Amino acid sequence: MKKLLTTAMALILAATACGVSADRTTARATESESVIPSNPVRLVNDFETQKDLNSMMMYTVLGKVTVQSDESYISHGEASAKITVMADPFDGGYDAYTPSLYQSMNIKKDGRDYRDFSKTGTVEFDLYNSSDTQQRIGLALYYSYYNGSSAREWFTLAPNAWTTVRYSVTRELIPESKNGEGNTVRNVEGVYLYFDRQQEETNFYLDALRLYSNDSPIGESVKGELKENEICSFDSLWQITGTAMSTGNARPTLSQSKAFTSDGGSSLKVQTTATAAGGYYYFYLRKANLYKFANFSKLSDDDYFCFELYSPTDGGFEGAIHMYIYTAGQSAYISETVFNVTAGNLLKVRIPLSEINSAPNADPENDACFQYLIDITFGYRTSNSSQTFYIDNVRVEKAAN
Amino acid sequence: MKKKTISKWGQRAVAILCALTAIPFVGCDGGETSQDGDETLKETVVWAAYGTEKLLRETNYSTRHNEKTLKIATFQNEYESAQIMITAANDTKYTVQLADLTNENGTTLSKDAFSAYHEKYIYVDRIFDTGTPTSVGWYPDALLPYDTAVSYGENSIEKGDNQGVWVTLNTPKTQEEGVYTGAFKVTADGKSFDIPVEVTVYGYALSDETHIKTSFGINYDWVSYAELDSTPEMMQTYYDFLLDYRISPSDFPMALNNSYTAYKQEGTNTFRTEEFIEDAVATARNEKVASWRLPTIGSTATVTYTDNAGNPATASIPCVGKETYQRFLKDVATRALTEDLDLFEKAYTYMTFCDEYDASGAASGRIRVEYNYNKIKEYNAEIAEWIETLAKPETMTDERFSELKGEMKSSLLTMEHILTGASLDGIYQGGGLGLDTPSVTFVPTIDQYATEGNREAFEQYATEYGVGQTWAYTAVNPCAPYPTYHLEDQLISSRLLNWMLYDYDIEGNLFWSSTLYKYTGTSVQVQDYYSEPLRYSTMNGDGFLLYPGREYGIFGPVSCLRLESIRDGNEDYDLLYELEEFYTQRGVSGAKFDQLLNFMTNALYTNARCNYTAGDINAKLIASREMLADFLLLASKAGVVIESFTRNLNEVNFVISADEGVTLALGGKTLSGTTENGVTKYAVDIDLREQTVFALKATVNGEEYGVELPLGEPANIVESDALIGKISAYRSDVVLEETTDTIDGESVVKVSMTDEIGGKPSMQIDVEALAIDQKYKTVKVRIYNYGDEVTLSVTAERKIIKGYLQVGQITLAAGWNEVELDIASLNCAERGQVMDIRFNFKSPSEETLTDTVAIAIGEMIMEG
Repeated sequence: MKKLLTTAMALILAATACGVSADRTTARATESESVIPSNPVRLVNDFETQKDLNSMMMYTVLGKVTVQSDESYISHGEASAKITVMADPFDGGYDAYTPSLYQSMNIKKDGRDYRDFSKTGTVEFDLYNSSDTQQRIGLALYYSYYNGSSAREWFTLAPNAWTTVRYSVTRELIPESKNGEGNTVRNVEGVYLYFDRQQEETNFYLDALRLYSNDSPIGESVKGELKENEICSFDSLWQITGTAMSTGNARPTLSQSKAFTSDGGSSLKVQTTATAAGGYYYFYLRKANLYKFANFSKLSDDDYFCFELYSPTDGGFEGAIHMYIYTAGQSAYISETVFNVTAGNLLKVRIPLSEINSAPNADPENDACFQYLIDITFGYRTSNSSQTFYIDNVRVEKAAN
Repeated sequence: MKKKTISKWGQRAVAILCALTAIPFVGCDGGETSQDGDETLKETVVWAAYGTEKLLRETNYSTRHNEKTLKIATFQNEYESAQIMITAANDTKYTVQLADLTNENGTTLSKDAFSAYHEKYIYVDRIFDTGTPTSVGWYPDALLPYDTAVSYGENSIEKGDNQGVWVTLNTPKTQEEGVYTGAFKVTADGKSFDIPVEVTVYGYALSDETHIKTSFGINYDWVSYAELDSTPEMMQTYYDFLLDYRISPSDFPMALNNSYTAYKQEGTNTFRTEEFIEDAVATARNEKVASWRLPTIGSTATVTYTDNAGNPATASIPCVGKETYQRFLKDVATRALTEDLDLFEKAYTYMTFCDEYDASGAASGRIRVEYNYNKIKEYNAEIAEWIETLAKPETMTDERFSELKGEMKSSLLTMEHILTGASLDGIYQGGGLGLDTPSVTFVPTIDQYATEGNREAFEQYATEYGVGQTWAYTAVNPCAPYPTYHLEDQLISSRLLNWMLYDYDIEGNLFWSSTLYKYTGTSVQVQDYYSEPLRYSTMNGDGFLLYPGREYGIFGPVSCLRLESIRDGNEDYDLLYELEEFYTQRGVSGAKFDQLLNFMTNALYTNARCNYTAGDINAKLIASREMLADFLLLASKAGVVIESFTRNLNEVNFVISADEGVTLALGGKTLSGTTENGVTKYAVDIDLREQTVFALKATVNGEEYGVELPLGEPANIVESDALIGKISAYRSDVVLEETTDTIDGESVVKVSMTDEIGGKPSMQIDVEALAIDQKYKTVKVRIYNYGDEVTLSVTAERKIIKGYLQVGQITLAAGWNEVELDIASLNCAERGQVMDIRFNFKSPSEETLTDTVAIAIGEMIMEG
């Protein structure tokens, strides 16, 4: 199974409040009632023609998207996108898989490239919920193949009404990268829109997906210093955003938690997604986002790689958790360790580096050993209920002299 | 936009990689290159082209502007196409108006049988298939229905450009045979043009049944990316669309959708079995489907084995989930009783987790195959036994119940489990798991069938280790001149692939994906599907044969030239299949039929390589199809079958049979034969020194049918004394002595060679005076070996294109031997006559040969 490597999972805890506007409950009547302020705004997609939909993609058997011109369901321009979310096509067997739409921030046909979010403050769009019941819409920013997505944020949609969804962008949480010209940018490839699947087909109308600027300076970098011998303590918020996760649909939810800690700070809470049939899912601790200040060259075979793994009694994870260590330039992991986890137990992991460095795929002469650590991946199989475990205080311990 | 703008995000280098400097730089199929099209054109021109070629948008084809008639030759119940080409002198819109045609009897071929498509051009800015002589440029591919093109304002042409209009005829099954003529109208650049149209309808109807087994991938997730529609209706539309092209998709719409299957796991019952079974029943009953794929949902197994270094090793490998797999088989078997139909008959498996098993070279690939293909055979056998436990349906007779169970068991035990790979070598290295012989239907790329040795090896493998059948596939590899589905390759190659499949007894064709609506290896989105030729990173066009119809308001996919060509090839395959059926019923063996087949194929390709450089290959295919039509009409209307022919120098002997009451004539002379059981047999001898064409006519019920077969040139026998003084050592280290001798009363030229230094004794013969050229297919040389067994490899060089090609190889036993040199493979028509022939000797063990080699050359027989 190919692993889709992503990083940068955003917080479940709301870093900033995101407003939901219920400005209008009826369709737009005249141009003068346009809901889009004149500036500063970049209209990413107004969904006027079928070709406008080319910059969208659909996932997880969502249903259907098409352009429509019924005025009742247009908030701007001459048309909008009608989104039909299929009723459960899997007879309950696929309920963990959230159908979604993706809107690219790079509109190739027009040469409009909005991916640099360095000065983007808000993502906004108009969405009409045509059902008689309240619905919700989730939104996440997709940073890149390497850095993954932000956490999903959900917004309430009133029945038979328009909602202007406003998602406030926390630029500090967007990983920095270099664009083609070598400049540092805050790259967002696109946005995901998530829908709940109901027992019956539901229809929505999407219009005027736009961005608003924020020219204020970006706050202090979220990257901080590490304690001595620390790899990742999860005590700082940025250490959660730097954790990647699989882009599989039943990916785990990762968050910072004080419910368990082995070092007096916070830990990484991993909440698996329930699936009707088990599948393998992974999440990663990736050097590019975490280990920037960690120097593995001073380690020796006598030192130890350590962390704690706790599975709570109630709803705790039961089963095997596989840990893979990847090093620079290697396409396969250099070592694999399997932890058999039972609910209500604390596992204190302490692995001699000599063991990792002598694993079959490890080769110090070819940069395949712990010194060149690039990625620690954790994998597990899902079950039909959501389960939780915590990881804390990933570190090295020096050998006693 | 006239020229492609390299978008700032896509940094593909614009490189012209044109292969083979000796070949003139051409646009596809014969034009002169001109990146600016035909800017000098004073008036807009409308002309016609084959339905087997790609004509680039900006290439100058002015030498073809006088080809005015749109010609199609078709069987009943067949699709065939041709192209109207418009070369614009100014920017213009164009229109096309189809019309009824009539034959000499006044019978109408309705315009409703025709469909017109606007060819959309896609820019290829880098040539990956360096085997083609084509260049970067605008290639026609997607076929937008003409009316749709008009409503979207795309029926426009820029000044100097070519615009193709693809015209497809779906000949009605009951259309009267004959030649239909008329004219279609084209308006462009303020003028109206009448395009003469000539359609020849052969009086033989292709059956609806598809015989070529195919496995063409549809990824329904990818379909939903581009169509923004993941409804069952959309998926079914894609599936049904390919069926119309005589293609069996590898996955059912509902049952094997990637999204749908992601959650399935052993021990659970979440698979949508009911929908799958419904699809299986519909498929098994559908004569358009020749093959359907059983799901092999993955699990994992831990195995121990011996690695390539001989060390014990353990691996966790993907494998077939036994419980899920067998549950499917049981459900299918149970339903088969209700349907009173062997639902397994057309079923196969394709375990993609073993795909291209030897690509990495790792032992684990081999182990994965040996484990899974043994296991699946076991699983099938267990279910075959289980079938005996089924209860007889009340409405079924005992006899039928027993028969149906027997059919299902047989289908299960002889089911094809296909496996792609480059070589057979890796599968049975021994020291693996020590398991029994698996049952594998091996699927190499089509170029692997290029030698007779390989073809025999695959056939032998299929008999010993498989179920007697072979498949082939194409993807990024091979490249031209082997047949491909590449954008920059010649269109006809995708059609000729099926002729090769039939010729080489290959029953199945696999193509990994027809719906690559994404880039592989990256999450970057393809936004404009009609402008992106490169989605699989190393080959234009690989992975997609369809375009999403959404942006044109079309529900379902849009076809392309390459897919039309594949259908044409599939229909050709089925026509050949039907012809051979007639012959089989008459008791003619496959080998004998292959002799006849050779008449139709030898101009098209040689050893899996398309013969592009030997004249107009499009015209040659038309000629081959004419011959095929002649054979089919003779067989179907008059029961005329050419049972065999043999050639002995200049004497060719035919055995022909025909239905009683049919009058046969050869070269105008009525033949007489002997009749038994309603069939009359004729023996005919032809002396090639008197006639070189076999012109057979059959008259039945006042109708006449016939075929003409070129028999080749009379044999030219060259005595050995013609070679005296023409033989020399090839390498300077070789010491060579030439004398004459007589062996068994035959005069020979004796040659003794010694290469004590290099150990590679070799000689060359100057054969210029013998004028060995395209008249001859083979040269047979009698060679006497005075010594022990040696290996002889024979190469030849031609006058125009230098370089030696192998034309024969033999192990020379002591005494007399006959070496047959394959002159046809040298393409002398293009490359010039043979100038030199080289004999290269090696020891049978491949070691150097420093001993003296002494041979004698007797007579040479050159046969056409």
